[in-house]
This record gives sequence, structure tokens and C-alpha cells, in this order.
Amino acid sequence: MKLKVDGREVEIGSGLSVKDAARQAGIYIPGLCDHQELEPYGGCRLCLVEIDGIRGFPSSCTTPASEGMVIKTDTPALKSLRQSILEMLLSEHPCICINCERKGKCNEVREAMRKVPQTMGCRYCPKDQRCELQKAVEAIGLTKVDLLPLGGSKEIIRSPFFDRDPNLCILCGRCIRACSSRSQAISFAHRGFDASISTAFDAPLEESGCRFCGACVDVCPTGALVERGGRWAGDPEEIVVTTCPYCSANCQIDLEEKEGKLIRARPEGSKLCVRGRFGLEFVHRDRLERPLVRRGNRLVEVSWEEALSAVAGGLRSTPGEQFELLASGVLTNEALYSAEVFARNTMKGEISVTDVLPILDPGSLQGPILAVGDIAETVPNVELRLREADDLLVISPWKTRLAEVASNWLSPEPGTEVKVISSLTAALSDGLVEGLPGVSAEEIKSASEALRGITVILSPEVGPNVVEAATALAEAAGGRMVRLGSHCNSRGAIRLGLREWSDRRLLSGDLKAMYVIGANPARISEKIRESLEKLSFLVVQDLFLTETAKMADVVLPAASFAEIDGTFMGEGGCILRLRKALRPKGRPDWQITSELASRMGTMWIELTSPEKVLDDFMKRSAKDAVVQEHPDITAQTKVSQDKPFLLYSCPSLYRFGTGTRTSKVSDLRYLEESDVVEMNPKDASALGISLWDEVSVQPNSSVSRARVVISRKVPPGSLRWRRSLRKAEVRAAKVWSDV
Amino acid sequence: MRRIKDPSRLEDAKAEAKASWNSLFCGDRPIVCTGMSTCGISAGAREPRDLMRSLLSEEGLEAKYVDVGCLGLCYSEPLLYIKKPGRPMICYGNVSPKTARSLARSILINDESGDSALGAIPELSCGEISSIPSIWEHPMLKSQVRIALKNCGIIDPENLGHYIARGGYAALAKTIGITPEAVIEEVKTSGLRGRGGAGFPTGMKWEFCRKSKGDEKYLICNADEGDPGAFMDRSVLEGDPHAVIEGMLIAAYAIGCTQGFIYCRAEYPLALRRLEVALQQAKDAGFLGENILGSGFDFDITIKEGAGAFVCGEETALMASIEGKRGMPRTRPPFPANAGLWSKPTNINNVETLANLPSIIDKGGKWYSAFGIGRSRGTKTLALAGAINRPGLIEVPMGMNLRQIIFDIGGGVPGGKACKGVLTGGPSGGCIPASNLDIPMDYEAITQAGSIVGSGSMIVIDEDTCIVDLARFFLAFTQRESCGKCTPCRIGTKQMLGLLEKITQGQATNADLAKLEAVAQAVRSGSLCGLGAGSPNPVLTSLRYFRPEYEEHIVHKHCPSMACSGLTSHSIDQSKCKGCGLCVEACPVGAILGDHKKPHRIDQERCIKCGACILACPGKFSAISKRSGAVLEVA
Ligand SMILES: Cc1cc2nc3c(=O)[nH]c(=O)nc-3n(C[C@H](O)[C@H](O)[C@H](O)COP(=O)(O)O)c2cc1C
Ligand code: SF4
Ligand code: SF4
Ligand code: FES
Repeated sequence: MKLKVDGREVEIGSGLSVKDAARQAGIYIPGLCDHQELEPYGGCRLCLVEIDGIRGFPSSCTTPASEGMVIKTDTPALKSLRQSILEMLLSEHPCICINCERKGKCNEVREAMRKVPQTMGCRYCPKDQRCELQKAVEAIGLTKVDLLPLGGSKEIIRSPFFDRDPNLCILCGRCIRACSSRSQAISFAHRGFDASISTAFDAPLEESGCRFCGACVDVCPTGALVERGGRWAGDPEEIVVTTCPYCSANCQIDLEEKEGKLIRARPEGSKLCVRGRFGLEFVHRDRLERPLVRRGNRLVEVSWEEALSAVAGGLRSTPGEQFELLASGVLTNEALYSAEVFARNTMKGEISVTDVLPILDPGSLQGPILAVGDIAETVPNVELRLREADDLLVISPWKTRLAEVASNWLSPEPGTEVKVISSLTAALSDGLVEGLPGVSAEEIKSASEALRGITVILSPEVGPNVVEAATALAEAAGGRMVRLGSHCNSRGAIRLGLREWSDRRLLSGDLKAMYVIGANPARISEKIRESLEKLSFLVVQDLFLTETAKMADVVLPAASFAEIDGTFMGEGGCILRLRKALRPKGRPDWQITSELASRMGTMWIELTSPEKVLDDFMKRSAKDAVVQEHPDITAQTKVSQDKPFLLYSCPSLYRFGTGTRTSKVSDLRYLEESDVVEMNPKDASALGISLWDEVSVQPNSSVSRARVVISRKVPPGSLRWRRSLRKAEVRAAKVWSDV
Repeated sequence: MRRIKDPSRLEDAKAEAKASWNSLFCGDRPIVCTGMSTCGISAGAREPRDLMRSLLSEEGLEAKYVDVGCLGLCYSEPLLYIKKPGRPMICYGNVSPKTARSLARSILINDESGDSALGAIPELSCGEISSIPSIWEHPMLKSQVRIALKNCGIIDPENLGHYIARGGYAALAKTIGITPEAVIEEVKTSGLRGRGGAGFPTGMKWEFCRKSKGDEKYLICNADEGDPGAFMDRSVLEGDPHAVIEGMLIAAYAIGCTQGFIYCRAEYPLALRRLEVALQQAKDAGFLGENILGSGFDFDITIKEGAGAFVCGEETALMASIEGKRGMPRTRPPFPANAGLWSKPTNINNVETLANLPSIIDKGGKWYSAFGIGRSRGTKTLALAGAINRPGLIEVPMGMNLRQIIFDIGGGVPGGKACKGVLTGGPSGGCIPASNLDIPMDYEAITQAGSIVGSGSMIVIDEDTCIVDLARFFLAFTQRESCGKCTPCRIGTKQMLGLLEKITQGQATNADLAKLEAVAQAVRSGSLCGLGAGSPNPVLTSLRYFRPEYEEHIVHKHCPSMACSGLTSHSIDQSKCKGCGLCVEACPVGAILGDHKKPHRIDQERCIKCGACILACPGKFSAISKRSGAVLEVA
């Protein structure tokens, strides 16, 4: 359609607002509540325009553009109206710097000004220079605020990762709208001048369903919501687009770098979760910078030369069948490939990877969907996509986030998910319907009626028998199965034909030497730790001196994801880039292993640059890609009826894998709650347990201590324990309170 | 009532209802009707009614008791109407338990002496009312035309038979016999405009919604009535709920809606109860639900209770509230007719708009449009309040001039005080000065005068009311009620309030007045919804007509009405004071000092300006006066 903005003819597509139309005509209209990723709102009233034939001053962000419109964006009336409205906004905003006569002459004293407990003006504000309100003041040309000062001194609301300063809030509602498609943790409270943004009952964010994705922080135009990390860092010197180093969603991230530091990470066209948004500061925490070699019972710093020859010397004498290389699924294609070449060709031994399962990608999600497992905790980005699904069936014993929004939620008794899936298959194929504990025959029947063409989505933590049952169901329903990967490069590992690691060989004492890259098996269990201890030669290549590294004979410092160029394999086999944003602390993994290979004289190919490695990787993986049998590592424990509680160990958003990296981020550690069990209020009152009471939990021979959180989301008779390191498990457990 | 399966059976039902109406009002038992709307009940109607009942039954007299709605004569409430056998129904005002006793006696001895009272009610009398003046000749009622209020105070609102006996649901039967387009045409002919405030032509609004595409359409009755001075809708809902339901049925049929909502504030418990009763009766009788009167037309109504925020009366906020969201307005387009409740085409009408419809359909659009002037046709209900002799609820033809309304109907300003002006349209309106009262009650004329007709509240102010303080009062209201969504309303109202406070406290400068005007203009032009856009009206209109009064406050620190406590002081004329000490006793804060028999003084620091001393000072001395401005007492 054609229309006119300030005399300029523009031709635009349909479905656009007047503001969009102006933008296409190259005309800037100020505005603070509007945001390109959010629904229009029309609250700030700075984007008002005049349109022939429309009374008054409509807001351009909410008014749909239509054929033949004649729009004026810059009349004297509009100018003065915008100035008045902006002046009102500023009358309740700390803005001494706008009225200040010595503007910009305070740079030398800025550090001192920041010590003022309250932001009094722009120079005191962490958002200075990045603030959209400042930009609006400039664009609208306001030089003085001459109304009654209305600003108050409300208390700053602190939460993990970011703070909310209500005194800087302009109530544009962007944060609420950003949160509404994610967690709905915040909303408007009160009316009139007292209106504010708050959680239900003013509870802390931690208790309001917030998942700390930071979407609110990213859209806030002012300093009202600012991340604590990099708070005063200001604008970045460089922004590098890279791929998140956690789960298999492979979100794209803008790494903001300044003075050699990662100051912020922001989403690049995707919705980040807390791990990608706030969980990357591990790159600056406790990093190893120099290789270590064991001298007696101490690890001492040595040169690379010395360390590499120690590794070569230690491994040269190890027969291939007594060697295993364990790599992490978060390593790049280059690292995995080079490690594989090293393990198989140089060492003639085995290589396996933590948590790789044959994965099938979600692709485009259409039609009915069945979700099993707690995807919100494992692959949060996929969960957000599933939340939008119209026709979502969830099978979960407890009320997961997806169960809350699902059109149908089946809540079987703990540990019986497989039976429900099989009953659905039976109902579909033979019309046999049978009720199960927690799920009635009618529920099965009506759920089975909506299964045609279903996409079954499995979270990575579900056990192998669930996978089997789900495969059968997908087939019977003429649909497909999607199995989400656990790690950011699980796909790369699978492409290379790498197996999932099993601790069998290690535990049985068959191994003499191990080379561990980016994994921390010592955290998994005491037994594994003891077996590692018994190895005669252990090499660990990592970012940190992990529990496993502490036992190593040689520790090689690796470069983190932010310090290298490299690739992951993304959905559908596409190649996703990692780009170097920081000076490396250690060396890229692929470089270390290929150098070792050539040192040990068995290198059959020169790996000299990441591009060359990738090139080789692609050639190799295309040829050899095999889908592997999934190893059976989680035989579900049979639940015996006489034991009082069913204990679920399940994944947590705030802890990734063995938690080595996430535990370096203090607020993630705070949120992780690995020592917390969730208990139904009925059970709690029967046992006389109240919130935060400490209890003993005994799932097997060992007893653990945990604090209790009372939650209706878990059914009576069961406990949810977010501490699973690898796979979801159900066990019978005794619980008692010592007091 | 039995289910009425087709329109022809409605005639039978009407005959039946009329017969029982006649047997009630022409029978040989005395009848006592009580005005039992919220206004009557709070004026204390229950007590004389119950007393009457117990007195009569003690004497073994089985009278009939009927609770009716509000007749609108609020100033003389409680109202009791009494009909002795063979005599007309007589309306009595200001009934106290004492009058109840004497009325009971007069029934017992069948005495005719009190029979004139406020007048006879012909509708409730059997035949001639002979020499007794009709209530409709009462000065407050004489020039009224009652269409929306035609049953209020006449019928028992909880008795469907009464409604039908007075012609109820005939318009529905007529409606379903013609095409929806014909119904819309009739409403267009009537010239009816929305009575909720905006005055948008009703027929046109329906047509938009009828033409809008959608498998499901909704109809909402806006019974939020958030304007603090308004109570018209409440009276209609309490006095004649079936008229609103029938109006909704007509609208739903014309537009093609299958589901209706009545959004009524929870602070109207009696209206809610009577609506519930009426809805159930209408369902049982086959006026609501499926296949209404055998026509194949389905329509049902659900009540939604609102939490009483003023902004929830605004249509988009109201819809958000029904959807269970925070009651916040949104910009239009999309208009409700295209995407309203749950994004479906929706039509919203006010209670009074809907209550007019049965008569319009019944008697024709032409008949309705015969009342009124220009583009304002028909009648408008008004809530008269403030400094007026006869406050109450009235309905007048559009075009009647304000002076006639205030003086002829309302009886003018009490206490011999001068009328300063009248505030129309509540917090979004403005004050039209006494000099301008010759303008007609007409949407355009009132808007031109700087105010709005609004929902119909009219607050008369006398010379004792300070115009600045009045503006401050309304701004305090809108500021509190702003939803907080948009900047101009959320902050602008706070700024205006702050500036007005400065003026009433004598702390403002001319620059503040300029600021006030600038903010007011920006709030009017920049706000998202009518609440914000209308909020500067009390300021802008009063500045237009009463600017010198503002300047008096600012320049001379003088409040001409002696109303702004920050600008007034009380002082004792030393030459007149005899030192009697009565004022000392009256003063609640002990601000008056002085020895017995010697002239007293007021400690200005302590004085809270309550005026108790002025009342206490014996008239023969009249030593204490209230002053404002430069002439402050030198202590
Ligand atoms: C702040 C505000 C409050 C309103 N309150 C009411 C109300 O209480 N009752 C009402 O009928 N209309 C109210 N309205 C008007 C409605 O938005 C709407 O115009 C009306 O219900 C339409 O019905 P009508 O066309 O029959 O008048 C209000 C408007 C605004 C801006
Ligand atoms: S916190 Fe930021 S995004 Fe949220 S309403 Fe306030 S200014 Fe807007
Ligand atoms: S004008 Fe006031 S009530 Fe209306 S949307 Fe804006 S803040 Fe809310
Ligand atoms: S950007 Fe349009 S009203 Fe805020």
C-alpha cells in the first residue's frame, strides 16, 4: 500500500503500524514503550502523530497503517506535545544531570559519584549512554525540566543477576510484555501514580516463576533493570556473535567485550535462558593458565613443552586397549575431531563422549505435540517454542512448566510414564484402553483420540525404555519422534560416530590411562572418583582445576568457547560458528591434541587450522555417520510399595551437566538448589516438616541431607530433587527429619 | 411464570399479568408500596415500612406490601405510597416512624385527610384519582418525560408480571418479527445516542458490529457507573431490570450476538441481586436462552462483577477486565466492533441506552425522536446533586435548558445562596457558570461550553464553593483512578493536582498557573483513553470562566469563597467580643485564648479552621468571622 509521511510517498507491505511506515520512509519517531520484539502498547505517548481524517493525536506505534494515509510526524503541535509529555516523564525521574549547567564536566569524579546509594542523574546511572530515555531527550530536544519534582526514593529490589530500581522505571511495560511469553513472573500493580511493576504479592523473583532469562533486562529502556555483572562497564568495545556453549538449542549470543573482559552477553535473534544470558562469566573465574604436572602429591606449574612431553611420555607406553579418551559434548567439532584422531589413530584406543544420545531435531513444530520430561530445565529454548503450541499433551508426574500451559496433562504415578505411553499406543492400535494409577481409562482414551500425526518430544534426561515406548507410539500415530540433545555439540559427536561414555571399563579396572577433555567424571559418583584415582596415568584438559583435574598426572589448560574460533553442529546438521572474543587463557583443544598426535609421531594428517579441521571433520563425518544404539545407563529402579517416598532426581536449569561451569557463576550456584527437595504439602504436614527444614534422604545405602521446599507441583508420596547429573531417575527413598 | 413458546402466547401472558395487577390495585385490601432502592433503603425506608406492617397486623389488618424502585424524588426519601381500598394511591415523602404511625392510623380509620401529600400515582390507582393532584404535577416531575425510567418507582422490580402488565417484552416480540436490519433502521430513526458518555449514535454502532465478520459476537451492558456523582444506571437496574434485559435482547437480535455480559460493579449488591432474579425469571419464561419465543434466536446473559475502578467503565478496559486481565484501556483501532472481547466483534452499550430500546421499538423511532433538539434526540436521565433544593434522579427531553432543570425541577439553590454554576459530566466534565445556564441539555452545546453531558451527573455549586478547590477535588479523584498505563494521565494528573494544591494553599506563582495550563493541554491531547483526556476539563473549563478566581488565589492569596483552608483565617473582633467563653468550649483544639469577660483571641498556629467557633458565638455578638487574603488577624 501507498501512503505519505511528512510529504514523502512510501510503499509498504500490510500489517505494519504507522510508526513502521515512517521508519521505512526513513523518518524517526521517538518512543519508549514500543519495542520491535514486543506487542505494541501505546503507553508512553511519545510517538504521537497527526493523521488526516483521524481526530487528535494517535500513537503511531499502535495505529495500523492504511492505504492513502497522510501522516505528519513533525508539526509544531506535536513537538510541543512530545516535549510536555517527556518533561512529565522526567519530573519523576532522577534527572539532575539534564538540568545541570556543567554538563559533561564531571568525568573525573564519576567513580566517586557511583558510590551514591541512589541514582540521582544520568552520570550516576549504570545505563548512562546506553539509555533510551537519554536518547529521547536528545531527539525531542528537551533542555530543562520545569515541573514539580515527583521522584521518590523507593527501595531497590535485588535479585540474582540483576536489580530493579523502581525510581528509574518509566512504566513502559516492556519488561512485562517480554516476560509474558516466558514466565509471567511480573505484572502491573496498583493504580495511578502509585502504579508499579511487581511480582504477585511482591514476592522475591525466585519465588515468582522467574527463570532469570534476562529478557526484561534486555528490553528495559532505562536503568531500571540492569545486570549486576558489567554494571558499570558501559558500551562494549567489540560485539562478537557466537553460539551458546551449553545446551543443544544452540542459541546465538552477542558477546560484549571491553578491555579484554566479557562484560555482557545478549541474545542475538533468539531467546536466551539464564545460562546463556548470565552463565558465561565462568570464562573469567578460576581459570587455569599454565599446564600442571604432578610431582609427588603436588601439581606444579610447568611450561607447555614440558607438559606435552610428559603426556606423550606417559601415554606412549599405554597399550591402546587400556586407554580411553573421554570428551565432553560441549567441545567444538574441531576439538572432537582432533581428539578422535588422537584416540583412535595415535593411541589405537577408544573415545567416548559425555551424554551423547542419538538426537532428532524438533525442526518446525506443527500439529499435536506430546512432551515427556522436563524440557524447561534441559533445553529451555525449545520449551518456549512448545509453550506456543495449540495442541500440547504433557506426560509428567509433576506439574512442570509445560504441564501448566498444556491443553492436556496426564499425571501418572511416579515412574510409570512408560506405561502411560504404551497404553496410548495400545489405545491407538488395538483400541484397548486401560486405566493406570494416576491416569484413568477415560483420560487415556480421550488423549489417544488426539494423537494422529503427533510429534513426540523427549527431553534428554528420559530413560531408554521411555525412548522405546515413545518410538512405538510415534509410529502407531503416524507421527514422528524428536529426541532433544543434551549438549551444545551432541550432534557433532554423533556425526563423528562417537559413543556415549560408560563407566564400565573404568570401574572394572580395565583401564590404565585416561585422557579427559572438558569433562568432570569425578563429580558423578564416589566410585568413579576412586577408580580414577587408581589409574596409572590421567591427563585432564580443562578450563579449571576440576575435581578430576586434581587427581591428574598432567593438567592442560584449554581455551574457553569465547576464546576460540570453531564450530558446533546445529539443528539439521548446519554449522554454527564460535568466534573468538577474548584473548585465550589456555590453548584450543584441537590444537593440543593434534600437537600431541604429531609429537607422538603417528599423525596421518596435518591439522593446522580450525578450517582445515572442520574440512576434514565434514568429510569424515559424512562418510561414517552412524546412529548408535543408546547405551543402557539408567535401568530404572523398581519401586517397592513399602518404602515411603519416590525420589525423582531430575535436571535443573541452573546446573548444566556435572555443574562444573555453572558452579563458577555465583548466582547460578545460589539458584541451583541441589540440596533442596520439593515435597507435597500433605506429606510435609504428615511428617511435621515445614519450609526449609533439613531432612535426611536415603535413596540407597548413602544418606544425603537436604532442605525441604513445599510445593503443590509434586504429587503426594514423592519428592523432586533437582540434582541429577546425567539422567532422570526414580528411586524409592526414606525420608526423615532429625528434629 | 410458565414458558412462553411464541409471541402470540405473550398476549395471553399479558392479559393474565394485567388481571393480577388489577386485582392487586383494585382489590379491597390496603396497599403499602415502599421505595426500596439503595437510595430509599439508606434513607431509612425499611423502618417505617416494617413499623407500618406490624402496626396494621397487630390490628388484624391484612394489607399488601409491595417494594418498588426509586421514583427519583431523592430529596424526600423515604417514600411510602399508600392506597386505601377504593381510593387512589397516594405518595408520601420524608416518612419517619412517626409519620408511619399516623399513616397506619389513617388507614385503620380510612381517613381521607392526608390524601393530598405529594400527590396521587395514577398508574397504581384504580380508575379516577378525582380531585387529588397527580404526582406528575409535582414541580420536580411536571416537566419530566419518563422513558428509561417509566417503570422505576412504579413496579416491583422482582415481579416479572408487573413488567409484562405494563407492556414489557412486547417490544421483544415485535423485534423478532422483523429483520435485524429493520431493527437497526428503527434505532437509527430514533436518533438515540449512547448514554454512557461518548454519545455515539447507537444504530450506527450496531451496524458496524452487525457487518463485522465473525462466527461469534458479544454484547456487553456497561453497568460500571464509575462517575462518583452518578446513580442513574443503578436506579434503572434496581427499579426496572427487565427493561435492561429486554433492551439487550433487542440489541443482540439486531447485531447477531449470542452471548451477553452485564458488567456491574460489586459495590451495587442490590442491583446485582435484582438482575440475577430478573435473569432467572426471563430464562424461565423463555425470553432468554435457546429458541427465544420460538423464533430460533438464541441469547444468554452472564453477569460479571467489576471491582469498582473508574477506568473499568472505559470499554477496552472493561473488556480486559471481563477477560480476567488488569483493567487497562488500549488504543483503538481495533474497535470493539471488529475485535473486542476475546478478539471477537463486540458491541458495548450503557444501561440507560439499553433501557430506552423497548419503548423505541414499541412506539417507533419517530416517536422517540420527537423529543429533543438538533442531533440530541429523546430523553436523558440526570442525577441532580450538590447545592440544590430537590436533589434526585430525573429524566428530561434533550434540549431542556439547564436553568429550567436546576430551578424548575431542582427547585434552585437552598439557603438563599447564589448559584455559581453547574458541573456536568463528573470528573471528566467542567463547570458551566450560572451566567451560561441558558444553554440546552444537548451534546454539542454542552461540549461547546467546555463540559460534557457525560453519563448525566449534574452537581450544582453555590457561592460557597471555591472553583479551584473543586478542580483540585476532581483531580485528586482522577489521579487516584488513572490506570497508570500512559504517561500524560499517570504523571500529568499528579502534576495538575500538585499545582492546584499549591494554588489553594497560596504558594503558587503565575508561572505555576502557566504550567498548569500547559500540562492540562498536553494531558488532554496526549492521553490514551477518555479518563486521561477528560481529566483536565475541570481545570480548563474553570480557567475559561473563572480565571480571576485563580488569580485571586495566586496574587492576593485570597479565596473568594472562603473555602481554601490554607488561605482563610478566623478572627475575633475585639470590639464585639464579650468574653462569654462559648467559643473556647467549642474549639476542638483549644486554639482560643482569653480571660473571662475580656475579648478573646485565636491562636492562628493552632487553629484548624473548622469554623466551630463561628457557630458557637451567640448571634447577638457575632464577633467571629472568617476572612481570606491579606486581611489576616495580627495576633
Ligand atoms: C474513564 C471512562 C469511564 C467510563 N465509564 C463508563 C461507565 O461507567 N458506564 C458507561 O456506560 N460508560 C462508561 N464509559 C463509556 C464507555 O467507554 C462506552 O463508551 C460506553 O459504555 C458505550 O455505551 P453507549 O454507546 O451506550 O454509551 C466510560 C468511558 C471512560 C473513558
Ligand atoms: S522496568 Fe524498565 S522495562 Fe519495565 S516498565 Fe520500567 S522502564 Fe519499562
Ligand atoms: S488515560 Fe489514564 S486511565 Fe486512560 S490509559 Fe492512560 S493512564 Fe490509563
Ligand atoms: S512508542 Fe508509541 S506510545 Fe510509546
